[in-house]
Amino acid sequence: MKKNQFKLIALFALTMFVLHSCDEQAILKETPLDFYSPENSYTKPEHFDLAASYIYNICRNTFYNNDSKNGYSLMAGTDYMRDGRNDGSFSIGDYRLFVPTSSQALYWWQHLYEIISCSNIIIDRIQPVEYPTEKEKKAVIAEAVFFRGFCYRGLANIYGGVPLTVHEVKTVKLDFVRATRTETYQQSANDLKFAAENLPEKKDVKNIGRVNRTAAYHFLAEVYLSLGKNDSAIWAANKVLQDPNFSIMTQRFGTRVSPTSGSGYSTSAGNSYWDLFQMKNQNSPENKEAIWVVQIEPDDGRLGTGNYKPERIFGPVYYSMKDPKGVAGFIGPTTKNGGRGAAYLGPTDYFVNGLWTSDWDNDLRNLEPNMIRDYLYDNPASTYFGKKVSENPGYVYDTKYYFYPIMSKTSQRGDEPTFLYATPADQAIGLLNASASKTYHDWYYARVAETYLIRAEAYLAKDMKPEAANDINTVRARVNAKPVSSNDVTIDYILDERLRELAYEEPRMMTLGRLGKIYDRVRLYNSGTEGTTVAPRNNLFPIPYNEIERNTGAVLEQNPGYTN
Amino acid sequence: MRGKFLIRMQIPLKLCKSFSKRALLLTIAYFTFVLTISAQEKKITIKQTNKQLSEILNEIESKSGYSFLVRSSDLNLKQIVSIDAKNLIITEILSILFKNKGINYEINGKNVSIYIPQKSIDKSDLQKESKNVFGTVTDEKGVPIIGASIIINGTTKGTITDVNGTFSLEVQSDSKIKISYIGYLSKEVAINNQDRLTITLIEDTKALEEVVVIGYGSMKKIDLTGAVTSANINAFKESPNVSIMQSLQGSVPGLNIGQVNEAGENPSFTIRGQNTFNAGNTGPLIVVDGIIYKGGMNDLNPSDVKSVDILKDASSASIYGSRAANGVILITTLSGEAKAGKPVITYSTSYSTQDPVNILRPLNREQWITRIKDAVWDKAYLAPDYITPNPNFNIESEWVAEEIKQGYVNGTDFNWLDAATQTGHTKNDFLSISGKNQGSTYYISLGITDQLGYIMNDKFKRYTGKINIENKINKWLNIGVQTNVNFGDYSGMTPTMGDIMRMSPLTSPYDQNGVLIRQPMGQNVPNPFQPTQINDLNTKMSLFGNLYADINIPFIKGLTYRINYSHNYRTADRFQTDPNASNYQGSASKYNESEYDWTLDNILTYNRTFNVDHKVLLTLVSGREESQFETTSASNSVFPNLDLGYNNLSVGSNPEVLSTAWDESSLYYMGRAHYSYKNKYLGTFTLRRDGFSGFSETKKFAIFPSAALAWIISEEKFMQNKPLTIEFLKLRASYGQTGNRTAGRYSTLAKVTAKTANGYIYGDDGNVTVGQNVTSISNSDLQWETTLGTNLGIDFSILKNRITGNIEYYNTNTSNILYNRNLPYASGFSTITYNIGQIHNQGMEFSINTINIKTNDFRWETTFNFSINRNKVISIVGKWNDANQDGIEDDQISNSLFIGEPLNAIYSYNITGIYQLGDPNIPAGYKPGQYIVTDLNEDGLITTADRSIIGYKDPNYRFSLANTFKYKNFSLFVFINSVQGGKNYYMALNDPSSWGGSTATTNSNAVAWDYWTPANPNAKYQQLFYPTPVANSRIQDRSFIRLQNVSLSYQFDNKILKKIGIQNLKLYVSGQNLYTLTNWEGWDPETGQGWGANGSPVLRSFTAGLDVSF
Repeated sequence: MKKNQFKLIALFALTMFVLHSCDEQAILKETPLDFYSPENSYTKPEHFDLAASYIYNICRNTFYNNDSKNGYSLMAGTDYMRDGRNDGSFSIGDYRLFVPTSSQALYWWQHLYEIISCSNIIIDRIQPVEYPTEKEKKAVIAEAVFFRGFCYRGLANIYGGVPLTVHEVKTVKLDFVRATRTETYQQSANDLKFAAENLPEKKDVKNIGRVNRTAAYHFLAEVYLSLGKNDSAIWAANKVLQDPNFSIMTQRFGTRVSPTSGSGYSTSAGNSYWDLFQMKNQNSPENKEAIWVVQIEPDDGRLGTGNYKPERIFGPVYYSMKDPKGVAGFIGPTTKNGGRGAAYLGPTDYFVNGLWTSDWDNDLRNLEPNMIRDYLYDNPASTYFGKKVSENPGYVYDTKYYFYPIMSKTSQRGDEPTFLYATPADQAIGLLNASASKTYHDWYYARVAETYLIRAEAYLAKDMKPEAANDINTVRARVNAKPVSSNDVTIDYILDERLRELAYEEPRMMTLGRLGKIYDRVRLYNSGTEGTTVAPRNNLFPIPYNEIERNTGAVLEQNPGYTN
Repeated sequence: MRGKFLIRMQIPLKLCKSFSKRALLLTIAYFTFVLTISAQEKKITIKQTNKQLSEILNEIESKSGYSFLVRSSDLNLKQIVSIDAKNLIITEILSILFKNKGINYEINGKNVSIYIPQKSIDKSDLQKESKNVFGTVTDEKGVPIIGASIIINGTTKGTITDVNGTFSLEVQSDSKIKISYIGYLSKEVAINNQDRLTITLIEDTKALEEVVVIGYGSMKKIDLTGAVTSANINAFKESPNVSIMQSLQGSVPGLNIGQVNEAGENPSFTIRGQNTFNAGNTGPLIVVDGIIYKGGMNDLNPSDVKSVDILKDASSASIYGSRAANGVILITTLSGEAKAGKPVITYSTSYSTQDPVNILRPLNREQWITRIKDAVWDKAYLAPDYITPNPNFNIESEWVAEEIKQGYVNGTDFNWLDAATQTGHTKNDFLSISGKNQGSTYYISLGITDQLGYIMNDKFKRYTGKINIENKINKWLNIGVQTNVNFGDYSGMTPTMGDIMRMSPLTSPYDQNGVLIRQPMGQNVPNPFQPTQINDLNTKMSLFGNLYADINIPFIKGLTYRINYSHNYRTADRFQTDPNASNYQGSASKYNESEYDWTLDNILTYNRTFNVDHKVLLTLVSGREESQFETTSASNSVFPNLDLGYNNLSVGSNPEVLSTAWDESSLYYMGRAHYSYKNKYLGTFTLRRDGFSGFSETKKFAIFPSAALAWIISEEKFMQNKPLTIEFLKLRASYGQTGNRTAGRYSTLAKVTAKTANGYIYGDDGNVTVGQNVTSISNSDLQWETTLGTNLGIDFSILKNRITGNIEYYNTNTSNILYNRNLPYASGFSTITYNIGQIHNQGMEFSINTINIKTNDFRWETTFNFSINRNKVISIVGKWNDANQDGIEDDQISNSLFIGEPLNAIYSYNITGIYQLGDPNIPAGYKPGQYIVTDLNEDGLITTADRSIIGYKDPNYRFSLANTFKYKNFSLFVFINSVQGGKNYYMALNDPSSWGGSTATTNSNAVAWDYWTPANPNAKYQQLFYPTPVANSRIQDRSFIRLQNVSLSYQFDNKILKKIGIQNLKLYVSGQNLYTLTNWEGWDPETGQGWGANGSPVLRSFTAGLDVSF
């Protein structure tokens, strides 16, 4: 009997020994409890909606953001904008200092690749997920693919050829190599074309502000230009311009059609160009010009509002000017004068003067209320009260910091949210408090006016100058500008027209880089440090050294002319 | 000699060739004293024919309850005998059995010694007068020692003591007897016509027969092949230590234990050098009673601890595989086995008072006013020499706060420090009962610790309970349970020392009504006493239970199986109601935490000796472990009133909730083979396979091998005629691999973050949607850090064991050290934790114990410990990181990591002096009274480029010196501990400017340090008001020698005590941290706190206590 007991015990012991060796992997499987992992967070359709939200968030925060001053580096240091403080903090400033270790070089690289990565994760992980219809699923994929194409287009425009990743990077990868610029554009074109074919129309998008097929065609047209496929570019642009749902806005529309008063500012002199930039008009169903709108909201305590301060960055510090007698000329920053500028970035002389000379008094874009060119002293204590600053330059007057023209689209002039006023009395006179600095109206990733200018480029490249002139004149006619004759259409004319139409909107470096015009135009039109220091190598941004250093498994070639 | 005891035990084995018999005899020999089931003159019946003598003896043993001890080497246990006896008592049966076989026997209590009388000796014996001597053998506490062996010198004749520790032996009156027992120093006693002897054996903690816990088993110290040290915990029993770790401070070379300065604080501890970048991952693995321990060291009552063994080298630690790279500390708690016979009740109590060793005193009114004038010397004194006071200087203009100006006028001189501090104390009460009943042993204890710190409200209370019970169910099965309960109360918020020290003496904390002033110094500086108004509940509880069974598997002799099934449940609660938070609108919070671990270990042990010479100890382990953790916290702020406080959080207006959870599991298999040949050549080989849920998908298992060899030279023939002075000499060499699981759970997984802050508002005036993204890349290659270590050791005992000791040298290379490696951004991620760094460590330790004086009444023992360690960063992220292209990997200055240099280098400015008034060489931007900083790159500017390595934080070497003096019943223990820096090690930056820096003139108070003024040009530190641009810290040497423990105890005479029913009574007084010799300035060199405001003093304590057992 006892022996049996022993046997039992021995058996038991043996069992215990082997028991848990059976399913080691199951025992050691790690399941996170208090955080999400890709394995459980990319499994249902709603997950992909959240992942898309993130992309919209970071894409906005990359291009329209103040947290990183580098966000302005596609506008600053160009043919129309200079470093207002010569400290390089918001711009490239001195091109001799624009080197592979510069933060601007890293900023765009890092952020555009982050968006690409987020897109790839959606594209790869959505495959096994079930959707009600295949079409819906394809639209979600198309949205991610759109962003990938959008970012490769951006990378190719400013860096040239870059490494192409079209799948989620799931393990350590240290051996990226650059594709050619053509390959990069081609990847972008493929993505945008797929997106165009599978995205819904603008009226059918799930939420306001999400991409639609027209946006894809718009950017596809531009990428085709870069690939030299001008016919394709025209074809893609036509998809936008021939769509009855889209047109350039020639009639007044939106929130401020009837003259409003209050906050110390009212205008009845508005026009359809001006309406494009008034609060809430970008998302308005009336607005047929908007192709794709970046969503920015007043930071009234909500999260996800965005943080974009063109009013602060581009605006002059007029409110600190003293009258010729040394008395404070202004009661302070006011909404009627365009807010609380800090003159980090100012316009070049070319933008202030030369650009507009041919049509100074006709072009609505050069006139109030679109262009603020002068201020009236508004301090009742000043004997110059009500007089023009331009005619009575005061004590600290200069045209670099205190006094220069600014397009009113950079602010929400006359329409600031009430929380920017300290008191009702301040609100009555439009005096802003110290939190005023952001611009709360939405911005255009793309609008129809630009599509016309893209098609004009394509026609020009095909030497179809009348058609090119025609497109340009569509844009000009809306703002009462004289038409251009087809003989005068050159690529530089188109670039000038883009400036007049799209200044403060388009990431200018994208366009100049795409055309290899950074060096030419900056040297020619930027009379600041930028113009004297820019070199031919600057037609492409340097590949960030940080990235070259991290990429230990392969050599990432630097762009010509830069030394690591 | 190592003692005849061992040899004697092995004698019968030589005779026996059958494995089973040999094992039986071994059992008999080893456990004679164990099998003592009551059988007073029991009559037994036995009938056997033609059986081996040993089998018959075995049967008699089991039937009678007597135990046999074979004492003669030539006694043949295999001889075939027969017996037929009915209802006879033991003596009758033995007479029949041994008839005509030349075997004699002696009965002592329940022990029967059998032997063959040796004729030659017997002959001479006959010529002398022989007599019967009765004796009692006890330990120092008077507890009887059972099974002690008594041998007549020059013979093999002897006996062993019975359950009462007594023996009787027939001896010649002029002979000597030798008494020996495992773990005690052998003693020789001359009979000298005495009839009764009382022999007290002194515990020999250094004895080589000592059994050492080695993880999943134990081993005799003599058989060790790796660097394993048993700590001498008894030496520090008289100190008021809350944690067992404090008791080990300085006592084990290579075990580095930090100083504590708060009530209930756990000291930090490491073994040997740092072999990872993150200093948070340097803690050794703690194993308590065989189970990996995750609770706090404070959850164990030091009084419950029986032994602490430390596995220092890679070969011995590798049995714990991926967690052993920082060494292993094995703690064994007391059990009933150690005591015996009737229940022993022990009560000990102690009371300590605690005061700072060194306290920095804030300035009083007069000093503070002087200091302000010193700060603004250029205003308060007149040019050019700034020594004559400026009559136009108005000190009030220097103050911003109205409150201070008022205090100046009122003549206020308040001592904030005195108001915020007190004499601390520690009260310890401990009661235990242990014993052995039939087949079960038990140990039950209850401990209460009550500590009051130096700073007001610094309190700690602990209740511990322990029950260890083992039941011998039958011959082959033991079942036991080990439990531990701990309740710790850390409640009460203390003021922050820095806040107290900064308060101006011209202000006071209370108004006329005794109510705390919210901002006594104005300027939004809250009253430092406010934390004491927080209703703070801070408790921790832990429950531990280990159920185990030991089974002697019968078919294979020497094979035992043990199963451990342990559970540990810990909770922590932190509830607070703070009336002053949220702009005095109040806040309250509740935090609950619980962790539950369970462990299942299967341990097979095979312990056999073959043909006397071949000793084999095989251990196989398979185990599984799991931990689950969760927290919930809820808080609210802005309360209409705080009457309900944290008990009703819903009343507030800003509720916040948070919860976290994790779990992790481990699987492991371990095999260890130990082999010893002729007690001369020893080898241990282990292999552990460790699986951990936190390892990456592709590397769930790690394998850790090790090998160790040892050679006991003193056993060699050529050493037999060795110089008389060398009794023991062993050489050891080992090589092994261990791991460090620094990566931790979930670190290999990709993480997804989903939150509204990352979302987007579609359209106008809408609400945000959640944005989700993958925030970290999964790392399928992430694994443990690997340490490969060599250890060379020498153990020796010379001059008749008067000098014993050991020397260790080790050399370890750690690779795969975790470091955040940068990834190309093109991957979408910027960093990943990667196994990449390399560190090299080497060091030496030695420990020497000498018995300086040894007389009957007086004994003086000294232990000297020494350790030294050097480490070096070999690589951080890899050779590719070489921006300056010099072929050597670049340093990571921001993380203070330098290739080829030790970890913890101090990279700072070299200060060579102070600029004086009128000094013509003061560079632009510098002022008189500021530091002269070396312009290393000679570019005329002091920039970050002028930093260099100016010293190292790690110690150069450590030593300690323990002296024990015993005179009759008095015992005096004196312990000196020291950490030394030598030329540039054990340095730290000392920066007095942390006292509000340039605001020195406005509000902040300070202490008196040697700052520069025109009147004090030779000061050590810069002037007060204008800190030196860039460099503010002076580097200083932390070296110290500390008289850490002195204790004096008196052990009452057992004979007298017995009469009043007391077994043992000891009274003692002790002092801790009595005197410190150091050049370090500020709070304390060992804590490394200098002139900083927010320091805390190390406490000096005086203790009186008593231990009594019944």
